[in-house]
Amino acid sequence: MRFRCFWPGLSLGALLLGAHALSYAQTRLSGDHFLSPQLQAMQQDQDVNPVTLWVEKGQTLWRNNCQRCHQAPETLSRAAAEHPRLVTRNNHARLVNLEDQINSCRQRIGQQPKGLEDDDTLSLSALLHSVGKGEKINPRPPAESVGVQRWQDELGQGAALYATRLGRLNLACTHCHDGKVGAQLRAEVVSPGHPTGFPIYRLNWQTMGSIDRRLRACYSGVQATLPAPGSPALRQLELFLKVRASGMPLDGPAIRR
Amino acid sequence: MANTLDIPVRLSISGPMRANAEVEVRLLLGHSMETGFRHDSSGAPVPKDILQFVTVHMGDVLIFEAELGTGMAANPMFFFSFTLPAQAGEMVVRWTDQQGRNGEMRRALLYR
Repeated sequence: MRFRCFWPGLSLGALLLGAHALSYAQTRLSGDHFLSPQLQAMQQDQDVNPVTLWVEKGQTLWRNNCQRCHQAPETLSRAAAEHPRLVTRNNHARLVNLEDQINSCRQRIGQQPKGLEDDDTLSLSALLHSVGKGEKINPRPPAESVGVQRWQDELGQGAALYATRLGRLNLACTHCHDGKVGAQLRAEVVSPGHPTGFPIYRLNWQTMGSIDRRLRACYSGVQATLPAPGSPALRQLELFLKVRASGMPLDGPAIRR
Repeated sequence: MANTLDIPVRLSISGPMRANAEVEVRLLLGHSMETGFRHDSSGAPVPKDILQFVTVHMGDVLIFEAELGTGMAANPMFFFSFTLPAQAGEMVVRWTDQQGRNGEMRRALLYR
């Protein structure tokens, strides 16, 4: 509720100054702060929070498929905070996020990989994000020095993409998520766009979705050509967003509008 | 059995768990409630798949009944108030989808 009273003050300040000056703390707000009080109540009440359906399904899947190699999910509590990672396989390095990793684990144990937005993939991702709740976001370059340069390049391309104007609306991410934080976008309040609550249960989708899907929705929002699911540009952008949000605690899988 | 439908269900009760107490029953059913009006990205219609009936029994007594339609959002949630009976018993949630598949979930209620 503090927040509700805070924005009118801020917009008044912005009017007086003629600029949208944000304090450091305001640029580091999680998307949870931008939910309505009703949705915040829904999120905190485990009995009515739909995310728990996915987390519970994830626990069952974990017991049947993952536990043999990985033991308890808590042993991977840092995984959600450290992806995307640069993984080199067969001399081919690529950025891999948590949903990609879940699919390559499936292949390793001889199962068919499923899609990024597959219900089982999202359930396992939701489980790993829920055990990683409170962990500080900390994407790191790979240990071997060859990978570091590549990781820096990918990060640089993500940062460039973040500042590149796209689509018929001709907007870059930075124009809203740095320049218009707290302003009204139709019925929404613009957040700083930190990836703290993924995978999200988005009311608009009526289901869970990964950060891959959310970023594609942003492309659609500015009326740009949608990149294919899992395309390198989306992973670069995700890496940049994670680095930008470094040190912020994960919220666990969250409800978003 | 081919006609069963397994869905995740969350049943919780908010209020004092004792005889004759008025409580709020909260029921969350995990179901996509696909309307049949949507098309996927390739233009093919997405087939209708909804839950049609939901009932809740306390022992043998029907305490809640709902007929759902395509206007219902995914993962439907029901809250209703209910006065707990003198004898503790079993609460049974049953559901049927539009293809006639059904399932049930039983929860024993214990009074403190």
